[in-house]
Amino acid sequence: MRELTIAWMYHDIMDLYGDKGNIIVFKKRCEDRGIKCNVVNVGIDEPYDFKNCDILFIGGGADKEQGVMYDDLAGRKESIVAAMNDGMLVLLICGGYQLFGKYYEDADGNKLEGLGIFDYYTVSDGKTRSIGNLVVEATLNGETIKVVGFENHGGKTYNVSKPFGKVLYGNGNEANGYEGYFDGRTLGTYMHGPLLPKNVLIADYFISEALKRHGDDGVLSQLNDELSIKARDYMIAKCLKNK
Amino acid sequence: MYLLATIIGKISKFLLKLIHRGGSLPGEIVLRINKDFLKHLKYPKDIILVTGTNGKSTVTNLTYRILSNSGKKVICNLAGNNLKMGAVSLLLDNMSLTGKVHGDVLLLEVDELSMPRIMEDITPNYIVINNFFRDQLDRAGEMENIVRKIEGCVKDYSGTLILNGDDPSVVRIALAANGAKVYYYGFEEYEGSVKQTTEASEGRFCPVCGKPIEYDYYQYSHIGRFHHDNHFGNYDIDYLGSVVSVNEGKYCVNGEQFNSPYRALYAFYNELATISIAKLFNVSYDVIHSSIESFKMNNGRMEQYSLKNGKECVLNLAKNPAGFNESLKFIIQSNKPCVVGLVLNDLEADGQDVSWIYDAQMEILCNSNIEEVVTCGTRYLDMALRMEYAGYQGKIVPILDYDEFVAYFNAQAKDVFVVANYTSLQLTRAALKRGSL
Repeated sequence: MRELTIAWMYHDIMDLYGDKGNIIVFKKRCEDRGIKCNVVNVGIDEPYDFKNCDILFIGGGADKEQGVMYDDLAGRKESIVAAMNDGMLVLLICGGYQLFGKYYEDADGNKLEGLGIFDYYTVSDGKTRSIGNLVVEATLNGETIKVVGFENHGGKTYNVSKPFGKVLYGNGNEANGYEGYFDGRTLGTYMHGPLLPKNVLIADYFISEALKRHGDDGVLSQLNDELSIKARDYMIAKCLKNK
Repeated sequence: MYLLATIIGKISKFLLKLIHRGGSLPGEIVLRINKDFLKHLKYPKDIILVTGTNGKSTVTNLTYRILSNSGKKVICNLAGNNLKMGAVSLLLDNMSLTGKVHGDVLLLEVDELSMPRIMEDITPNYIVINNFFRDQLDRAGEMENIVRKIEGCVKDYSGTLILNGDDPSVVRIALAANGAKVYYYGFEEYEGSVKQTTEASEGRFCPVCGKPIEYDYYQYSHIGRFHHDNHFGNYDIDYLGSVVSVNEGKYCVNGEQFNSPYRALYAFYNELATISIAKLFNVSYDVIHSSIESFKMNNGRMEQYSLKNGKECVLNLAKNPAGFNESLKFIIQSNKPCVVGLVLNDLEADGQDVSWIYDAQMEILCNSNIEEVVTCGTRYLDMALRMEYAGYQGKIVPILDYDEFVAYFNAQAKDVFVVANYTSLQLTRAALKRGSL
């Protein structure tokens, strides 16, 4: 049986904006195709070796609660980096995205160190917040796609070497026209919504790549995505009309 | 400036009444002329503010009813205009030109974000806080911000706090209010309490030391009996409820039995808040009983309609995961085949971010008595998609138009339960009225 494993980190803390919907989507799209999808909840102080993980997932959390899990995450850096070098996929939303960069600087100039796995960094001026629908044009598997979500973040993320896509509506990383980070294995993005229900091509990309790690051809059967596509196109059209 | 503002406010109220319009516009005009208007008024001795996330309107309306039935003249924003300008509009109707507010009690429902602005000008002697749930994150920010704002409001407060002792974030307010007299209300463990929760929860960390708090049991969402070491959650509940039967609407408070018009624990909590206020005002049990038993909030709170096809329809407001979960639990209580309508809008007042529907446990509707789910509202497709990802096996029918939505119910020979969020509620009510007998 085809099988993959997702480590859902801090499922009880980084769960503010319905990001658990992404896990629901991974599970359902695997199960509908007869793929076994193991979801392991990795909480604070719970030992876990990322060697066994195909997809690491972190959602967004409340500021206070993000502070609570930071030390735990930092202690796992070695295991995470080793697994990433071994081809583990990573999906990071909002706070999770910021934490994998160099640092987060708040309005008073205090720097919270990030894991430093990527070179981007985030700075908050404490005044402006990017809140609203977000539409992005991205490239996935050589194909140009439109992605829709909802952003709600106080920090702006700079120095992103490989942005996920071009912003068609909304703010994204630093209101410079780009959103997120994507290098083929790791996707970091500000998109809640949650991200995956209306953007199933991204979900399938992760599932397919995760299967390929186990010598599988990664070919996925077609599911009936009529409703998802309709919901996505409806929101994209609504946003672009308001531009 | 004060007198000018009053006169203009009263005139604008009168003119708007002539064209059958009300609302908070006069209040807005008055605050433009004199932003300190509320500071100048002479208030009744008793001022009660009711705030929190869910149940504010119900607590306020029921308290109004009980205090009025006990013989007091109560000035109250019953229609829920709960921002500062709404309070001004209300007071314009109930004051003399010299600024004396008529009545024995001023009872105000206050939007939790408006608490600081109201308390700049009005000093209550009772503040009631029912709960704090995550709600409209893009509009209100994280719940932590709201709790901090209200902590700031009560720093120098020396009146009475009436708090839900089963909500850790509400109890935090007592720690910030050193000068206040605090009364807690809460329900004992009952057959529906659980030891672990999978529902989205807030306030997981001890406000004193930052470590995770422990629960003996959960009632729903993060409402339950909690504590941490010897420094948080250790107090007696002054108004202690015990559930006799949710399905029969029966519970006791400090030994006295009450009959609720509702069949849901969250509704008992609303009533318990009100009973606590009533007892602090020394209202007799007779008045409290008769007021509660005949209470109907309507306005989309478990509101009943008789559809044209002769079937029953119940409509309930739910605008956040906690409210939604409680509605869903209520729906599956009955074993009758039933159709569910879910209405989701994303206008500014709703919050444009609808991610929270993934925090609500729509999975509850799977393998239940619910035979079809019909969705409506500006985000009808997202709600339908949510049901699909919940693994719901029945028919999912997305319909954008409200009248077609209700017509669909009329074409089925089944009872209906509709849950609608904030701005979609009145549109749903209007369509249901058109589609009812």
